[in-house]
Amino acid sequence: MKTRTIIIALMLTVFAGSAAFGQSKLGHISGDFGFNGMYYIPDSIIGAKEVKEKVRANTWLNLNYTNGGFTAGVRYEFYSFPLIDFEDIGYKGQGLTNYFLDYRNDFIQVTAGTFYEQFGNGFTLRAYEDRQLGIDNSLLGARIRVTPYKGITLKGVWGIERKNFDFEYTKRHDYVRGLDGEISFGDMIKKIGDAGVSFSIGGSFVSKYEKSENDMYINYIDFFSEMPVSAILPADKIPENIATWAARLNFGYKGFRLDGEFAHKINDPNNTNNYIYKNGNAFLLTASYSMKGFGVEASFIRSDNMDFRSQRNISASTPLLGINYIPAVNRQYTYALLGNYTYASQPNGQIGVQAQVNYKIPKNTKVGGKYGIDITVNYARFHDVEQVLVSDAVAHQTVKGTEGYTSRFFKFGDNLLYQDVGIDFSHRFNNKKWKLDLAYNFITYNLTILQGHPSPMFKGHNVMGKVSYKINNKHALKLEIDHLYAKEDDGSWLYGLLEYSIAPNWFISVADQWNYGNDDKAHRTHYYNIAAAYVIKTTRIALNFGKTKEGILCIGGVCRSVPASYGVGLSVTTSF
Amino acid sequence: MKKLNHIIILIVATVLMASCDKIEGPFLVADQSVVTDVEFPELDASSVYRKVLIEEYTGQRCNNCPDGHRELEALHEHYGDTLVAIGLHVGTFAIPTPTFPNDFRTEEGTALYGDFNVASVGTPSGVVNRTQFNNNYALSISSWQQAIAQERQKDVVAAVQLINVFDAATQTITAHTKTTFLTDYAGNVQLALYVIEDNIIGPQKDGEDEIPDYVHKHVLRGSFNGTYGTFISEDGSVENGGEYLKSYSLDCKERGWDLANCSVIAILMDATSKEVLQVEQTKFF
Repeated sequence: MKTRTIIIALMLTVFAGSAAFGQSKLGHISGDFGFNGMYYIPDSIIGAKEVKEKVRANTWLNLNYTNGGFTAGVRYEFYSFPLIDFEDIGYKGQGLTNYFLDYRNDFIQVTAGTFYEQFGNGFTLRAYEDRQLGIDNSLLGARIRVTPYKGITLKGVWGIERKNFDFEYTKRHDYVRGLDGEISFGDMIKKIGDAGVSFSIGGSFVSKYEKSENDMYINYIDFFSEMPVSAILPADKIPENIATWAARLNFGYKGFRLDGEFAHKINDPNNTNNYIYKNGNAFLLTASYSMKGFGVEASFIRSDNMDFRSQRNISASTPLLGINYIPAVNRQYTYALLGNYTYASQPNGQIGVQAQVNYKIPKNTKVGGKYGIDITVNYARFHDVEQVLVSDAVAHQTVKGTEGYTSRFFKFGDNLLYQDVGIDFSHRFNNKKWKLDLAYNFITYNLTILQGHPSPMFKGHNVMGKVSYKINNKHALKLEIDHLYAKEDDGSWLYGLLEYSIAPNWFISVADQWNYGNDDKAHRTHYYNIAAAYVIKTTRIALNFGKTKEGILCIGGVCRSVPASYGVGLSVTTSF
Repeated sequence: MKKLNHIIILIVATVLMASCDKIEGPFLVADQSVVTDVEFPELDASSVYRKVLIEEYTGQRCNNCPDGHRELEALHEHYGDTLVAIGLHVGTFAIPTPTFPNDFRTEEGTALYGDFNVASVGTPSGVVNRTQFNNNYALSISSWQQAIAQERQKDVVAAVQLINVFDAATQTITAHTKTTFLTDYAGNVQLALYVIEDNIIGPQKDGEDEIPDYVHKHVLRGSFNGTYGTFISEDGSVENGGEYLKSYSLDCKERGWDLANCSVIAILMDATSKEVLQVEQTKFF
């Protein structure tokens, strides 16, 4: 707490001092402000609960001061009465959530205070912020980055992870430390770079410490007597220092690229893996080739027991205190109706492939027309990993406090998690005034595992059509129609969006999602939304009115649940 | 430069090696708790008061320690059974020598000595209810009374009833406890059961003198369920009015204790802060 006060006081002094000089040689101030509020109206049909305060809002302000290689920054967040989605995930409170001092030159960069960092793909460490998801796992501590030689980067981090608005850092018994190194041969050896080759290797090591002082109780069934037995996982059998390491490689030559990373984690019994002692690992390999009018990319990913948190008792249903990040490699769609069936990355068990082919039917041909047609074909399939329970786990009828299971590396598990077969076309015509997008996707989605509610496998056919028409330089119109045909879950949906924009200031849209295929006639709801936004310079003011269905929101394979809501929203953002 | 590189590599390697704890199985240990098969008398909540625990850190070769023993005796006279004392023999002065052959040290005592940073004050010193006073756990003799008086003012959170059953045939002592929460309590709660022995005759330094037949009081002998005990419920959480049973047995064979002078001490504490919420003492038989 003391350190925090000192840092903040120091920075306020810097700000106060520099503010007087404005944008002079003494540096400059930049930042952004955001207000995102909503007036809630209860609606029993969609399950929008009554919100006592009626109005809720998220507000934040970022302030940065830069002078040469020196930067100082603070962020204040007022989330005391946040939007209900954020309250659901515990993102509630207020205070200075981010404050740092940073200095950099060509050789070194040092940061004290809160900072974000990522090693490689994030397999061992990814401290990042996603405001929409309500994730901010910044580290409070120190970071050093050194470039001792051209092409060589070394990083070291040391800190405590942010836990929403719990600022009692001095009471925390957990922290994270890590090292990362990368050698980029293309930058280091001129000959390689000149030959058009990019080649780099890297490695990282991250370890978390968390005090272990309490025994844990585990009840299991005794194999011989078949009676429940009360057992203890003694505190000294719960590891306090847990390490992960990863090695990575990136290679590129002309149109060809190969990127790979492998990570390993030692015994880490925690709530997300049911307190098993098995080692974890993750592997991602992506190869791609592209040339004019044609591209192909394929990825293989496997992750097993890689959920890595600052505190062992955090539940898997929240992204809170995640140290690392296992990405979802499948193609991410923006189509409205597929939103609720977005694949969520499964760090503790997934194996799968993602492949995509792009082809452009050349322009000025019979089929391609004047501007050509872009075609993309996509295929993705993910399973859980094979799990052969160890004998103790079988005998005890629980994996808790055992090695858990064994799993062959390349063996796909029995449960399909997600599959996407898709094709889409994009074509411009009539002097590029018109653009037509068409897409078809067949999605198979395991609701039981991915969203945790036991239901039959969801199979949906989604067709999307979008027409954009540029009336003139200022006015444009966009119409999108989606149809999702399905028998499972909520059944079929129809979506329509009409958007009118007057550049560069106005955007107006009307949209509706209609659950016409719901088995329960009372729930064949229209989720309509009317929105208008006004943009001037760096300020955006947006107003909307409508209904949001209960579901999930996913960004980069990380998801959170979204409660149903109904009401009027106002958002104001500005940067300076 | 080369030397510097070597040093850096060495440091990095050390950090890496030190930052992982590889745990070898088996991981699970059967819980030693036994069935609570005694009847507890009905609890009269209005008659429950908050007892205070003083842990006295001492040693047989420590010249000033008897000053602590005498102060404790005076405090005991003043507070009666509302003050429960445990003598923990720790540190250099507790190490046995040919002249001081008794080894009163225990695993629990050594752990507590470290955890509560008692070495900062040394022996003699006392920790009252495992609570800080002026930012310190370990208090010198002169501060004991004030700390005890302060702790006595705190609200009663829970009552602990303790019944011992001694099986002479197997020389086994079973401590049965029933904890009743009298208010809401947000933290998780643990209960530790210790054994102390009174009136052990043995040598002790006292100032410049060596007393061969000194009477050592309330000497910590060991525990039933570890230094900090075990959760009283599945996960240690409790509710107002909740009653929690916990019983443990201890084999007393070949331990060299005079069982007639032994007592069980039940310590109810917050699982995180370790602050003592209630303490109870009952003789073996």
